[in-house]
Amino acid sequence: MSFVDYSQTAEDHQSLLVLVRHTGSHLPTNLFNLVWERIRALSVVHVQGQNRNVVVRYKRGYPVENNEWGAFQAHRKVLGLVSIGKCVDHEEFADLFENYKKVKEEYSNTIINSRLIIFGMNTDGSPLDPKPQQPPPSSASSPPSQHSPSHVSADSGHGASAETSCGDIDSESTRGGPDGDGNSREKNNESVEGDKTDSNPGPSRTGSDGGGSVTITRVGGDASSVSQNGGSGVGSGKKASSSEEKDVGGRPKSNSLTKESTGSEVVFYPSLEQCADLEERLKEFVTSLFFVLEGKRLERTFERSDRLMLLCAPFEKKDFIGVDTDTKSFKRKCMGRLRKHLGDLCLQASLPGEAILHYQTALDLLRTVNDFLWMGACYEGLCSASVVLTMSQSKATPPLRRNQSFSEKRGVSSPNTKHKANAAAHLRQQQSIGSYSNGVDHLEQQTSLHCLNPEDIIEKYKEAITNYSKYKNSAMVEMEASLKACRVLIQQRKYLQASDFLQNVVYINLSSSEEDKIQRYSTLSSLYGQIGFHRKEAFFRRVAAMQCVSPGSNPAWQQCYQLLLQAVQGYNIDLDPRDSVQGLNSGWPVIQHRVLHELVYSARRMGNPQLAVRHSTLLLHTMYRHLSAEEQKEAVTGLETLTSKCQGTPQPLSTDTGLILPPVHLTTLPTVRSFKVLSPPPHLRAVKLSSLEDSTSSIFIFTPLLLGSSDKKGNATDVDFKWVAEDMCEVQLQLVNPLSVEMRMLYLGLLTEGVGVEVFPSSPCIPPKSSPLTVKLMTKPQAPGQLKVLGYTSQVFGVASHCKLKDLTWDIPPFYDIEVVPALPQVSLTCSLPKAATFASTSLPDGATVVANAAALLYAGQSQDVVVTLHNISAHPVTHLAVKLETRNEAKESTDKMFQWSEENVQSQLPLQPGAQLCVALCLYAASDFLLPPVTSPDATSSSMSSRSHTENSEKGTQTVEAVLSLEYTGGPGQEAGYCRRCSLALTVDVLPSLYITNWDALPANSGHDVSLVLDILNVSSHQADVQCDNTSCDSSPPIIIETQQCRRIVVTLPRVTFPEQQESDKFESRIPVKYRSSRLPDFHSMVLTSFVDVRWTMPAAKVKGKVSIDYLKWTEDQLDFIRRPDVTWHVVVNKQHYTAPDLMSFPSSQPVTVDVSLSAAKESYQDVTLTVQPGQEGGGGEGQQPLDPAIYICLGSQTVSTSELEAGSSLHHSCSFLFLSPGRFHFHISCAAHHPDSMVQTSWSCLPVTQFSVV
Amino acid sequence: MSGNFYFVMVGHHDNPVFEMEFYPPNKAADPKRDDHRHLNQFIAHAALDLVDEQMWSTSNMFLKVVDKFNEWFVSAFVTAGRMRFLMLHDIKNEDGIKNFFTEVYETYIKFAMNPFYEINTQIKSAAFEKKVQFFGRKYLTG
Repeated sequence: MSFVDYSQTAEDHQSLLVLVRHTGSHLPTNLFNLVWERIRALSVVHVQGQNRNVVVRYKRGYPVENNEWGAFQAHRKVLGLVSIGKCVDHEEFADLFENYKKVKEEYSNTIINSRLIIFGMNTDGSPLDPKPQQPPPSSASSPPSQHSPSHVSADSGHGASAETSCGDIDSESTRGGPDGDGNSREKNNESVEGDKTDSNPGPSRTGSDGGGSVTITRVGGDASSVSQNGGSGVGSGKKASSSEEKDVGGRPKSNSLTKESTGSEVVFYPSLEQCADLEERLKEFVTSLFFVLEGKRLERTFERSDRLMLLCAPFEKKDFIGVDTDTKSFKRKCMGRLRKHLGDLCLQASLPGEAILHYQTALDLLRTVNDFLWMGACYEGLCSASVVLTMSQSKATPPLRRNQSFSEKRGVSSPNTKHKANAAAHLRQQQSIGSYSNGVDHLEQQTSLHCLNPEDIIEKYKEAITNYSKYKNSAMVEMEASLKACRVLIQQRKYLQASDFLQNVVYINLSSSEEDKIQRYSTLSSLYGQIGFHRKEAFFRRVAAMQCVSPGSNPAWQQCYQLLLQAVQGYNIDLDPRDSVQGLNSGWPVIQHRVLHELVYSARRMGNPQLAVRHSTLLLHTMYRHLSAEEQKEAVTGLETLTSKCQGTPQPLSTDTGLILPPVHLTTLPTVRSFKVLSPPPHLRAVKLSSLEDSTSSIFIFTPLLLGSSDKKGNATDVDFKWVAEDMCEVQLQLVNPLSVEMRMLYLGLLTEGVGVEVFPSSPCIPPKSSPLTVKLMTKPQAPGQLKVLGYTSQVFGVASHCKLKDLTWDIPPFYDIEVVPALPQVSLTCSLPKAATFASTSLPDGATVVANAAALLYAGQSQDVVVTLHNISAHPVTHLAVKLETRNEAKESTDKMFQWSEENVQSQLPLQPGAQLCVALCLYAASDFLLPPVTSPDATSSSMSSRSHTENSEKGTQTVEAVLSLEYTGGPGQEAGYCRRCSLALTVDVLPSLYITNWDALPANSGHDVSLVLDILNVSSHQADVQCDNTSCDSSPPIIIETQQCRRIVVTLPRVTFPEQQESDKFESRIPVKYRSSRLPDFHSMVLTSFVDVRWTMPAAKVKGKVSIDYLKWTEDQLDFIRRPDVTWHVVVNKQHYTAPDLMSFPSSQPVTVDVSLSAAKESYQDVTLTVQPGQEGGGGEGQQPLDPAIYICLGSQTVSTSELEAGSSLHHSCSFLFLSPGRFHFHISCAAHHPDSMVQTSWSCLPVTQFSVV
Repeated sequence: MSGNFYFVMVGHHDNPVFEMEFYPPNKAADPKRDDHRHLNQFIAHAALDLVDEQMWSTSNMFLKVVDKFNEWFVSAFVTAGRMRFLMLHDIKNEDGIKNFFTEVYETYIKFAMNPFYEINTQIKSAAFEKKVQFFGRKYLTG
């Protein structure tokens, strides 16, 4: 059984293998790793004086079986051992030392030198805290430091020329040589025994002794120029040997094992911080290894052919037992193999040019004896040497780990190398950009004549592999060679050929453990990755992952998961769904599904449900489009099963390897079709208080330039409304379920930023393949400020996601900015009236804010009290309330009359505390003109109706009046910020006709001071109406009963009225022809009369009562004369009798009737006053005032009297007699005409009542 | 267990456009086939790397065997429009596969000229399927 080293490269052939071991349990692993890193950094050691660089390869573990291949290929030999441990006292140290020795035993066949590095002790080997009972160690440990001067001189030996040292080593290598070749010596058993006993100290002792002593004597003078460190390794080797000697010599047991071992290969450091010379010690250690090898090399070079031994690979040993060693071919074989070994040594001694020569010679020797295995090794050696040669030219310094002394020596070398370094860097850059080329040939001229060119290297590798493949047992070597060849090809950028070698690796039949297979596939995968074959890389990663959990072995789910995770990239699966472009079907869906499924499964088996959920979410999120209904169901069920144990989070997850798994937000499950930020309902909207309308915005009224707003326009995230703090705010979403599985959302809330909010999540359930489902998301901002709506959070199938708008694929602003104004109170509005069925006038300015409506049905003239109640349902008091009535402008007067309330009453109830109520008493009055509806043509009706808010039901004569009672209120923090709210009550009043005044007239009453208004009242209601007219003159007359559709006349007597002067504007208005008026206007005169006339009606059946208003009656000028109180007073006496209407005086005929008239002006004086008494006879009609036929009467005296002036307060008297010639009923029409003194306008008055009498 | 073929046409985004399996008539119902289907697809996907690399090394559309994994060989054919035809087969049948590819290519060209077909999307055409089936019988299993 051999173990394949998958990380080997061609360059490793030139390296010295050093095993670095972690000994003891006291040294923490991380500390060991730190030391390991420091050691590893020292990969190239420059050997002073030799002008050679020794490459060292450190390994933390190396199977002993592989060590046995050391004879076959020298770089497989463990040459050095460095053990690192920690201890605090001598007992522990003893344990460590034992351990160290044991390890050394294991590799004793090949080890040349070794070191034990101990932390936790003083450099002299004493414990850190000097204990009282142990003073001797410190004193005993002084010798090492005293030794140092001699070592200084010792190291100079290595600094000396190769010639001298060569000679030295040569001289002693006769002894030391066999030690190195454990294999060859194994044939004779006794030497094996001896080898074991002294193999450890052997090489070091001999090497150092020889080198050290000789140089001291010879070239001690040079010592001063060389640093102490360089040679101390050998020095310590000497120490070791000396101590060993002493030990062997039965040195009395001192108080410390430490002390004696300090002399050996043990190095002490108090701590990691205090080991500055660690590198130096290592360097010296490596140098010591080099010199031993160099010694061997030289020894072999001059080996005589009679002392040949056969080197062989581990599996060959048994083949050569009993083989005749004296044949020519055997000798040739020995020689060839030795040559080949020599080549290896040359390579390790950094003489690749020489190595090539050796290899070629060996090849020629071996070819004749058909030693294919070793021929293969020769080919490989050739390749390695060539690679080393080529690479040393082309490879730039940067990739090498920087070593102080090394870079000092090499860095300043030739500008040529620098130039090449640049070229190489450029090439690498190109590679990283991703330009594929199928190979770059290095065009540098070969320094060595025998060095292979790049193509040949590959050819030789192929041959080597072909040769190896002839042996079943050399599969390990074959595989390593393939990998090495591949790595060389990667450097040459010949990817296609590299892939051929990788392909070959797959088919090498090597029985190996499961871990080994995993490692093989992983190596293949990473190499495929290096040649840019990412799909292959992914394939082999997955194969490796499957191998981890293959049946029959102990399943390593953790490893499987990690490998699969590395594979996803190659399958075009993006762990962050935001990176992948939606809609682009990239990759192989079936494979992606499979890999994700495996990822989920392995994560679950690994015992990390969190990761399983994350991957399962990704699976559903990215793959659902490609899944069948059945598979979708399966995926959803799988996810739900996982999330039932562990909920999916929207936070990034980190795996054990430190890889961060970005969160998977289910932005497409459900798919959001629309995302609309809703304005609050009108009655809850915050409105700027009109009084606080700011004028600070700009001094310019208008500018066509969009200054400052152009950048905002780009994302259009601002909304044209505001939200109110502590108020419910809404966003409307339209969700679609693209799956064929019902989607039960446990949580759907708004994702906001900027202001603290209280979220009111909803939990909709979307049926499969649904049409868009509208969902409203509520939120309540807690404070005023700028609120940013970023998206929504959801919980679907147990996975919580934060879906941001910017991650949604369709065109939508990345966020919405909403201003939240301070909290405002909120009131609810109720009205004592029943609700209206319809409300037509929503187009009114405040129509949108209507929160309640009310309807009333009133008979014309009826009144009703309505209570409007405001209930403060918020937590803030209402401190400001303004009540306003909104109607159409044209109907203003009548509606103002119809709706009345007391402003003081309202204001007195403020402030309205939270939870309290406020009542507004509203008085409704069904105003009407009480006139018969005008008879108009149908089309005229329709046109006029449309423009009037008084819409009339032409059949019934019902009028509908609509108005909006608008309330503006504010309080709390919102008021300070200058915001208020508006709500309104829609009122609909249907006015039913009750009574109509069909005809009216004014008649002179009995007394000249009064006038009688005669009204014909028609009852158009469906009930009997009792009409009562009360006026100042007669208090309680019995009510007049008017049946339905009955017309009754009522007479209202009232004192004659002096009308106030009419306004010019009113006059003008009244002059507009009726047909152009939008509504009937109340008559000026009637409005004055109204205060004197109080006609009330009651409908006992309907239990309603009301008032008849005469505002709209029109009076003729004659009628007005009756009504108007005259400016003059009359005093008429007939035949010495005072006339009082309606008495009828009777006079005998043929007796004169004497009339005494006295006219007195009350306030003003008049000019040209003419008083006329004109008798008249009562005709058929009562009113007729035809002048009497002069033949009927004889006037005694003057019928007319004139005076030029009538002073105010004075009176005019006139007396005349009439003789009536025939009996009959007569009357006197007494009138007076006069001129107003200022305006010269003629006015006239008649005496009322007209004096009537009969003549018999 | 021989004479099985798995044919797939791969679009520009490594997405399969058309898949079909051919097997000898006597092995019509193999219960293990379902497991294999996944493996076939994985192998075909991994072979795309080699197809992409090898198509530049030759002027031929038919790339012969580009890859192999276990018992499967992968032959490839790259159209002028860089559609990649892959064939997984467990027996060597170079001529048959070449002919098959050529015929399918021709059929595909005709199909792609349909203005209602969008390149790189899955081919869902009974006629196309039938033709490919026919070529499969003619050149591969037949």
